[in-house]
Amino acid sequence: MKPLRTEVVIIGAGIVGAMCAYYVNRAGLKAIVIDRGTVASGTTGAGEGNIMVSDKSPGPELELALKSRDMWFEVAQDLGNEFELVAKGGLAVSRGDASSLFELSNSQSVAGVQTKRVGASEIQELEPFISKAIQNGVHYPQDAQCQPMLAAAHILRQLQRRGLEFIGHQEVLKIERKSENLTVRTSTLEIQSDFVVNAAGTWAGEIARLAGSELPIMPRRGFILVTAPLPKYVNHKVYDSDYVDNVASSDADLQTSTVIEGTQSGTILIGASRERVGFDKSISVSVIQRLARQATSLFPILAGAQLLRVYNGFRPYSPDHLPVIGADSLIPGLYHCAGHEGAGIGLSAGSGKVIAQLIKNEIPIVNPEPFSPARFQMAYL
Amino acid sequence: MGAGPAGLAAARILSEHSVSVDVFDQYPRAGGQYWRHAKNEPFPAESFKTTLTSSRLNWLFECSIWQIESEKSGHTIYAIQNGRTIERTYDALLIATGAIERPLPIPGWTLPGVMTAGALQSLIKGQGLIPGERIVVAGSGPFLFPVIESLQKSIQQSSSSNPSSDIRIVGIFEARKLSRWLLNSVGLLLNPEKVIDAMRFLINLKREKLRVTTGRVITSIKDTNSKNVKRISVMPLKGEKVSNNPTGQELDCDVIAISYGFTPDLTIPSILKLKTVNKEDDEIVMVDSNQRSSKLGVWAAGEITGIGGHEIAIREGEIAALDILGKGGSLTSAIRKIDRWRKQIFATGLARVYKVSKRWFEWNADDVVVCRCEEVSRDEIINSFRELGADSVRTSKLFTRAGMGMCQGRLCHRNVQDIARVFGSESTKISRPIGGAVTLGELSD
Repeated sequence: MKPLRTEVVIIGAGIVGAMCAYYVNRAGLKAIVIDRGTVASGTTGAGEGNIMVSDKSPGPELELALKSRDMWFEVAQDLGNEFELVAKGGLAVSRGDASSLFELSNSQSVAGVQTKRVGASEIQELEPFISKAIQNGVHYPQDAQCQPMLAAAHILRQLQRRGLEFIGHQEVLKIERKSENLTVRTSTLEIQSDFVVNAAGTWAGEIARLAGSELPIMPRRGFILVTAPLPKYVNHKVYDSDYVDNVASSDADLQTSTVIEGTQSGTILIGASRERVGFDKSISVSVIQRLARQATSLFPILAGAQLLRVYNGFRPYSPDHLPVIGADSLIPGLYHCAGHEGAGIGLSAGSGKVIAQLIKNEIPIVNPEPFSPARFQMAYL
Repeated sequence: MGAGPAGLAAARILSEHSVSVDVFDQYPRAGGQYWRHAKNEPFPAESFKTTLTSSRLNWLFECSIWQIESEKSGHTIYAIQNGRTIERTYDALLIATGAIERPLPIPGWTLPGVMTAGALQSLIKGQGLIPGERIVVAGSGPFLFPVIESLQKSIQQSSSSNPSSDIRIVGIFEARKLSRWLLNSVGLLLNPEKVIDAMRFLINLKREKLRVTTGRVITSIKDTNSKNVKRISVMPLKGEKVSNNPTGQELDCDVIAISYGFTPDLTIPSILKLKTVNKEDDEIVMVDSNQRSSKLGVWAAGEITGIGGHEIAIREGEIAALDILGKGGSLTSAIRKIDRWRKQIFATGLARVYKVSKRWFEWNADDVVVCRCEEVSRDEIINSFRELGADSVRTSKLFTRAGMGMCQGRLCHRNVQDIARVFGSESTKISRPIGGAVTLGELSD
């Protein structure tokens, strides 16, 4: 078996891997993307396609999210928007005391997020079917959405016309460092390259181990309820403001809060449950009931909506809930781009760009320090 | 779960012992698809009449089971009945949810007047209605026979009550040649009564001056200028491909009933994550000789363990019930197992004789809607494999939305699976995490 030779091997054909491939390709490097399944067969295929700035507090993640959100539209411009990318806007609402929501939106707006406080009548205008009990909210026009599977597939397909190679059904068995090269071995292939990008999502920890390193990426389960197709009852991405607190939590117990949104196909997605349960994929009735209750209290009209299915996806997360983007501290040439949790679709473009810039020794679009794998790897050095 | 032949057979045995049994069904009456009957009609199977009135059985009709949770303490069924929530825990579950009819997407199959053979039979049996005057029955498999028989009976009744009525069967097209019956010779030897059944049917056809044209398939259905009249193209099928030798024919009609057999309804088994196996390209629930599934305390019987018809379903229901009662090793059970084996040999042979060509989607060059709920066409599905990198029904679905609509793939999964297989993909297990109709309001209660 003659080994393949390339400059960059990207492991993972989810949206993060696809965006890494996009910017590595733009940087003029020769790359091969491999995946244990096919395109978007992991977390990307089980997400709502969120490209959000509204759910993040000021800090490095928000900085990356803002840049990344705009880059999504550039990618759509370059490759054609065949993945339903649309800036539908977000609406965070509060049922009771809205002071923490407003505090957050004030700080976000200082950080560069477009925000607009809205009262009962404006909320009714934005969302005519929302509960009359909702008095306060913040409108975030920048929040966007796409169909993530189509995005990953479209990006990879277009890149293949620009010289990228994509090989599916390659489970990585070993990553070895030999002289100046990294060799990635799969069951049927051997690929030599200068750089390897680990964009394996929930499996990123496994890939790091196969290379002789360590990365604390764990799966966190999330449910999304999908209704039967309905008229356009929900215009924005609407969420309870306590969702924001929830995202930043590391309590292992089940936590739910609602995010409701419509899709182009007419179905309504109700999401945002997060619980840490390893890779167990079973569905729990109590979580479904809780999400349904929260959804119908926010949008009473949904009481008559038929529940059609439930998705069950695993979101990769790191101990401090920031993604891991950058060079491995132990293995020269190995880069990680994983652990984006529920924000992977939105952060993918910016993360891919940062990886390409680090590989090319350019100054990245954001300070990469907070995302560096070194923060978890110091103990092993 | 399921009050068809398998469920009823199990209920009959269980009701004779002191166990308390709940029987769930989504329809308002017992009988399943096989014994479907109108409200005022007597139950079609004499031997089950006392079962239906047994005091030990608690009937839960018009129930939609949407979720089942299994724990050490038992299996909890979550269902909705007339807007009311049912939540009950059981020691043993028997799944007998039957099969779904399988039509093939043919250009024009969404036109009014085109229906599944089962839908035509329901109209005739349930409402005494023949929805047209020039009828074509087409497809493949033994289900065409009973449909034609009910049709003939109903035509006779309508012409005796109204002499001016002129309803006729204008064509019967069976995709497979009679010679393929050689594939089931062992089955026939073991089940000689089936030969008699077939002879009786053929003689009956002859008396009515009807004949079955074998080795022919409908490849398109088009509207004509005259009201309600459709023109169908019928072409010879050679192996897996449509051929032009001998030349095809065109025929006018107003009702087209199509049946390409059945596919197991694996909704409930998928919720319970029961192990399944592939049999003649259908995914079926894996069971042992006592109809036990891969999950402790869960039995499966009837069409979900392999398409075989009501006689096997009855035996399987009985065997499961005996095992639930702790009599899986009894002589009564053994006798039923021998009979099940004999009948299964026949059913397996039959499945081979009438196996639907995987390449049905190439019978016509024109594009055709495959997933009707989401209006996804054959070419879009093919494109997802050729261009987008789909490698299974699952990934193709995520790209195209085929199977994501109201019916959750009940109608199209099996057909998309065929296309996927032609592109070299392995089969995708059916996954329907929400079993039946339930609203968010009902869940919020």
